[in-house]
Amino acid sequence: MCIHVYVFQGVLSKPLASIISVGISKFGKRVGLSARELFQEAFMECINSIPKFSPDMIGALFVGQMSGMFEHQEHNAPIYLEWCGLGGVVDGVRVEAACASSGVALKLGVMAIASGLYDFVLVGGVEKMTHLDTVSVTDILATASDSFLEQVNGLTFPALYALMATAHMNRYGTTVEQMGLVAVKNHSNANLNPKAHMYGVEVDLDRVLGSRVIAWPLKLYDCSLISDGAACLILAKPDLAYRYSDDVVHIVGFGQGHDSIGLYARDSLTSLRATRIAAGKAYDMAGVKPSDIDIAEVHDCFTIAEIIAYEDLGFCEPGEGGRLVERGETFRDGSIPVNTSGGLKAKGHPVGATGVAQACEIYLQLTGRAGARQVQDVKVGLTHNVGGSGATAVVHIYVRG
Amino acid sequence: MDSGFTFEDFRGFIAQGKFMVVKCGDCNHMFIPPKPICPYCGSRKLSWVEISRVGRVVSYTEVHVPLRGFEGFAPYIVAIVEFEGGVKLPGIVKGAKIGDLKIGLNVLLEFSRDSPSGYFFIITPALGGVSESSGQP
Repeated sequence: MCIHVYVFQGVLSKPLASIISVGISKFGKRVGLSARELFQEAFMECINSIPKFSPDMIGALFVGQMSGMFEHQEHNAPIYLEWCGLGGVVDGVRVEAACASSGVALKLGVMAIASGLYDFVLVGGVEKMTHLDTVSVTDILATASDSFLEQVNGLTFPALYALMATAHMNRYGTTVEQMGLVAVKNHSNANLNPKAHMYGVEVDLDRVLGSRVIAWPLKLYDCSLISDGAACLILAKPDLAYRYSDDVVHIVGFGQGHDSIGLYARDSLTSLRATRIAAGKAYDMAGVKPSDIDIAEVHDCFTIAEIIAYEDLGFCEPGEGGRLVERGETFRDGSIPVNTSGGLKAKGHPVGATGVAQACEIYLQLTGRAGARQVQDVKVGLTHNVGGSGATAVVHIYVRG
Repeated sequence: MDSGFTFEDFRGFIAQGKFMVVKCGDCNHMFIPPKPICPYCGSRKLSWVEISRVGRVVSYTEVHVPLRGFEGFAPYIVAIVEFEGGVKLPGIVKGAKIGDLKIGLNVLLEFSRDSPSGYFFIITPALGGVSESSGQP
């Protein structure tokens, strides 16, 4: 059997599947639109940019969505197929892994292509959230935590990440200002992304630090947004990709890791073991090291989560994450730009859409189509998507085609 | 058939005022929630043991935007507390201000029907203040 091997800047990588197009709905408060309509919006953008490709070539859909409780609607995969004109012979699978739902869906899509059973697969993610009040959304999101001991003790998601923040501050001296800089950076990136929920909103450090407490030490501007949105992409067999698209990005590695559902049961509160496992698998599969990564989208559901992600992904040593952002290294002009899309923090976090939206941003950056937020000379990208407080994490690695 | 190591068993002990955790007979780890298979080594040689209700704060937060059903408590402090054998539990800290909390602080597990989880943590100066960390938080 012949295995194609490609060498990118000295890195030995085998494309597992290739992204030939992406589509993202506008993120934000999308009044009057349901999940299926947002998904269709993303799908149309995805299809319209590759006119040589015909949707009837799609063999399967893997779609991430966290909860049907938002719209009182489960059994979602056939709905998205129906609304995209694909109902019938296309296999539809909805994937649930809390906020990592579509990151895991992407992994399944890559596996489907790599299996040889499918030539083209649609991967997507979607969530409709903003029509509900904050208490209801908080309540639904909390179902991704431990019902035995976390939900019965009043732990919200901001509270779970606040527990990580307190421990990280105590152990490493991480400051609220360093966490605030993550928010400032991601808002400044979102201001260059017309699809972002907070596009057009200026946020400086004083605004972050002066915002109201949600779960001490986390404040409003440390938290990601309740948003509506959808994202999708088309994966192709690597040797078919260039027939339909001039802008191709290869996925060369993936990894998934898990930990206890309860944050309290873990050995460490300052690191996510699931991320370390997922990243280790992905780096090994891709044959790359953290220092080979030119650009990354990481799971910044809260500012502390981005700081911990830097450390767990190997962008810096444990405990150095706060200082990494303070030195400007993860800003657009830094050595490892992170969350150029605006991240979950400012692009928005329609939970089921997030994993694929991250992949879409890396695709746009690696193909030079990221517009005003384009980072120059990026060839190798990474996405990092976390479910809940870290019981699931999934990492993908991409190279420019 | 009930394995004898269910969450309902744990709740039953809590309701009786007993702090019971599961101990592995092979690797000696203790853990909660109960499971019939040791999450550390896979052993099924398990037993219930009663441990001290005195623990040490590993981390804490004050929740201002509450979970549904906790509006009457807000703002409320939730801590993760480590007990004997490395067992950790989250819980609401009763009768304290956020400024009273500190990592390493000794607290007592107190059983209460007023708590949705069946227990609170309380700070008791009689326990002797702050303990040095036995491991990393």
